[in-house]
Amino acid sequence: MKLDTEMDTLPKFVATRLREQRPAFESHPDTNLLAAFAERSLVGRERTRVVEHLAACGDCREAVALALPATEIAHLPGFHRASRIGWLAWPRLRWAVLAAGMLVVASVGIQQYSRRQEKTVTSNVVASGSLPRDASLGSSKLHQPAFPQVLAPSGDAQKVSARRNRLPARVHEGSSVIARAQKATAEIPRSAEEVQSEGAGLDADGAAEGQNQLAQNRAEVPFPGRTFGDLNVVKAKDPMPEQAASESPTAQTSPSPMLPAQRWSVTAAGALRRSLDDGNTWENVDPSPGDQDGLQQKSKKAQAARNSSLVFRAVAASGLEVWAGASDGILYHSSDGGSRWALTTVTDSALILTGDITGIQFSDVLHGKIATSTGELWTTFDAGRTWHRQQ
Amino acid sequence: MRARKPISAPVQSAVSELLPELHAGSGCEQIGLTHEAFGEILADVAMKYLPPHATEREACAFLRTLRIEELALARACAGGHNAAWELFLVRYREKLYQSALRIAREDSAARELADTLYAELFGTVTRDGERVSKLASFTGRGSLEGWLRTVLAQEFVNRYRRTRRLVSLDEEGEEGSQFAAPQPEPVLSPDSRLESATDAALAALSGEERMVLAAYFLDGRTLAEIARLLGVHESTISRKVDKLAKSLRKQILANMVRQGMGRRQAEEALEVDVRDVRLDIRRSLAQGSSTLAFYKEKENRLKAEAPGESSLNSNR
Repeated sequence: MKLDTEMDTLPKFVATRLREQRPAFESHPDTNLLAAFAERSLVGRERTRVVEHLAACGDCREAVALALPATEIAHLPGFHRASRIGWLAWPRLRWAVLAAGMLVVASVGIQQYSRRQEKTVTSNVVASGSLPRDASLGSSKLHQPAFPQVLAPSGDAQKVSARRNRLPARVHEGSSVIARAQKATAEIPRSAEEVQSEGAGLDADGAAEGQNQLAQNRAEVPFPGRTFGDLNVVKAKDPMPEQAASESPTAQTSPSPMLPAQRWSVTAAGALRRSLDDGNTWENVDPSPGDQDGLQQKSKKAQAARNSSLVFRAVAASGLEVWAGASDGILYHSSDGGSRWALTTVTDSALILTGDITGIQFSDVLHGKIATSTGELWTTFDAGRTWHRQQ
Repeated sequence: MRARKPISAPVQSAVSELLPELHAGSGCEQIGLTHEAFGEILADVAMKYLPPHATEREACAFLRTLRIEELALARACAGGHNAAWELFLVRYREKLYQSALRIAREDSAARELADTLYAELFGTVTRDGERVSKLASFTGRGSLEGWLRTVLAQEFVNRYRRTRRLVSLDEEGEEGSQFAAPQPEPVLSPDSRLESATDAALAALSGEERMVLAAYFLDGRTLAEIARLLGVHESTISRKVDKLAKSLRKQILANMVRQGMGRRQAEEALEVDVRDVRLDIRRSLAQGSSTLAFYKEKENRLKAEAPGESSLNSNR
């Protein structure tokens, strides 16, 4: 930020008169009030009185300035005086922030895409016989709940074939999927959404059946990364679809076949830890040494975080997305289940998160909330790309 | 035992209403604070801050804003409960030292600062046979950690002020008048109308605006530091300082014209002052009142002295 010379000087008589002002209230404010002011917990008349006093009392200004928490934006390279860090001047920094934001969006997009790929329907098996619900076509020795695969009624495939001539091209395509699935000769990476869009192309006659297929496909939320051989087969019209739908959230705790189910917690001493075996054993995780991308790694805030002992207060996980909040507003984010971490700054244009992060809640990957020890509440609707202060 | 301030009826009923809930959420049982004792603490805190005619509803709303858990912990420590002290040390010992180090910027000074505060927190002074802990004055308006930082900062500012006075007298005595404390630069006495116009312009500003000006021009705080102080972005403060500096000049000019000065005369008075008297406030204050000056001053003295004890210590 460029500071013009007007800002570095002031007519001497103005400075003198400013210095000679006397506090409206002769006695210094209570230490509790100064501390509350520094944490921005004061409002209304109390805040006004403290500010009036601070305007005229250099000692109290000094004390409040010294009492501010250590970590924050003042330590970020981009927020020092422009004259000392020319290449990090505000306009350039703005572009850098924009680029970083785009990078984050791109990485989130790629991750979502890859996750969706993992969730791809590996096969739409249509079997005419009635098989036991837990019967497995392949090696189903995984210790994961039997995953229901919904099948069309035995006659449905033929009906679809018979109607092929009357259905739009997209339905033909959909039925060919079923036909291919009948053969079960290869994996067909089709997501439930794709099948849903195909089902929408059915005509009136085919609509009911299409809806039926759609409902079934909705229910058959695939286990991420599962292959055809891993899928269990259940009978058509089996009530398992509802069960499958209710089981789908387990994908969040076991987001990838490559990663076991993870549980995260924070100890009373403020250590972040993770369990890979449903809470039987726990390992401490330290996000700070391994962080992260090049930009963040060089930031002084990250260094400060590494140098000081982190005290974690809250953690939240949604699938592979893990958020860990610590003292002094430090927030770490991992998009890969805790392998790599990035230090995140929570700001809302002119506002900055302050205090310790005492609570994190993510209802899904995109929507989350953060509560702080200073009573602030921050929300995000885009996976932490932008934050909004609520109170 | 100090006499308690009488508790008003609305505050008493608010405390009675909320006590079960607040007591349950305070962790008092683990740290040895009884239900009744905690109720008295809440009532005292409410009476301290609430206006005399506060209603029960206002008292309830106020009590809900308090940092209940930290208030209970601090008061239990002040009451000498061992479990509370153990918890306090686990949570705050390291943070206290880190805060002291950040404030004092030197390990030995930080340890001394933190140790002094520890002694005060534990309570070395006795009153009527009772140990008096500084933690008894914590009221839960902000976090306990923030309060500890503020107490440290106040102690540091007090020490700096005392030390500076001692050093100045010491230097004057040892080195003669050539090293006496620098005399303040003589201020040209401007036109009395200029002075009153300036006072009026400053008085027209809000407290926050005057605080920003004082922090920037008198204390030499950076824009980032002021931004943190007020919880806004640095660019906001930059714009505000720029705008204030410009509008202040316009306002002074207008005030002088209002007092009967001609426009040109007022501008000349202002321009003469600006051209001849304008000074770099930051450079001027670097020799004076800011803590930055303290660090620099101390560093220079240490360089000048033998590697033995510094004059700071010898003065104590």
